[in-house]
Amino acid sequence: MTQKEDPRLSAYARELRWALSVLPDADRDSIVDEMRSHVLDRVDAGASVEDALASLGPADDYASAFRDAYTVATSLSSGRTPHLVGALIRNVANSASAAVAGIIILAAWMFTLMIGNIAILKIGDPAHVGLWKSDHFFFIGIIDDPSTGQELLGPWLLPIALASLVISLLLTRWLAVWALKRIAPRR
Amino acid sequence: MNKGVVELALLAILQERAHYGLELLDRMNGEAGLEVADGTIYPLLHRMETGGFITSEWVIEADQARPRKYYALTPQGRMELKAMAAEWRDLSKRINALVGKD
Repeated sequence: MTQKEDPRLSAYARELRWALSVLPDADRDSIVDEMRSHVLDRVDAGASVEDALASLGPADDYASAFRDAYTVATSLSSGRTPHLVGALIRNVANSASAAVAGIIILAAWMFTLMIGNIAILKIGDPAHVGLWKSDHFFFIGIIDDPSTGQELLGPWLLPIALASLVISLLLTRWLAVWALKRIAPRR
Repeated sequence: MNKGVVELALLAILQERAHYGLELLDRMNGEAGLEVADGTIYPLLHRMETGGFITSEWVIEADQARPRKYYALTPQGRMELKAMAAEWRDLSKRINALVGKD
């Protein structure tokens, strides 16, 4: 059978198999066999091998849909946050839920990073670092002259930064699971 | 929305009997008037199978030179079809009411 097969179909099958290397062998073999069966059915119906392969798209693009679905399913079943976040990132461009979750997670981590940096500075220079308020300004950071404003957080800055870290971790996990469950075909 | 329609059409066709991929594709594009690309149907079938809505089996038919992978509905798929069909009817009713307002 291999000897009679069109070389373009063989090359596409090889490329597809390689692009699906992340999948278990049985799944990969089945996808490649089904692609081959589809193309041969199209050829039997009068299409050229070239047209039949073109209608599937480039092998790597065709494989990416299987890979993404596999990544979502395995990350949800593993339940590990790095896997969940990795799968979420890979689906940001294809899913509104993943994009929304990604934006909220990014904003949460930017806030955590900002307040974390300020908290570290506060340890080194507690007199000049904090959340400052006066009639003319309201900001979080370093002030030149502490007598010109009132510091609102005091020693609470570090606990707030730690709380922000914990909330960001929990939020990341919760939003990733939420978005991936919306992508996965399971209710 | 379109993704939901494609999934609904797929489950509705499989309700009748098991189909192979190209057969499903031709019916979805021919009878339902959808424009499902060849490269879209198999990843969708794969996802639906992973979700437990359909099951697959390679079958060697007597009159065919090669095996084909046939897909069939699972009990979970039937329940999903029922839920999606109810949503579709409700949506159609609402849209028809809107369209008929002028």
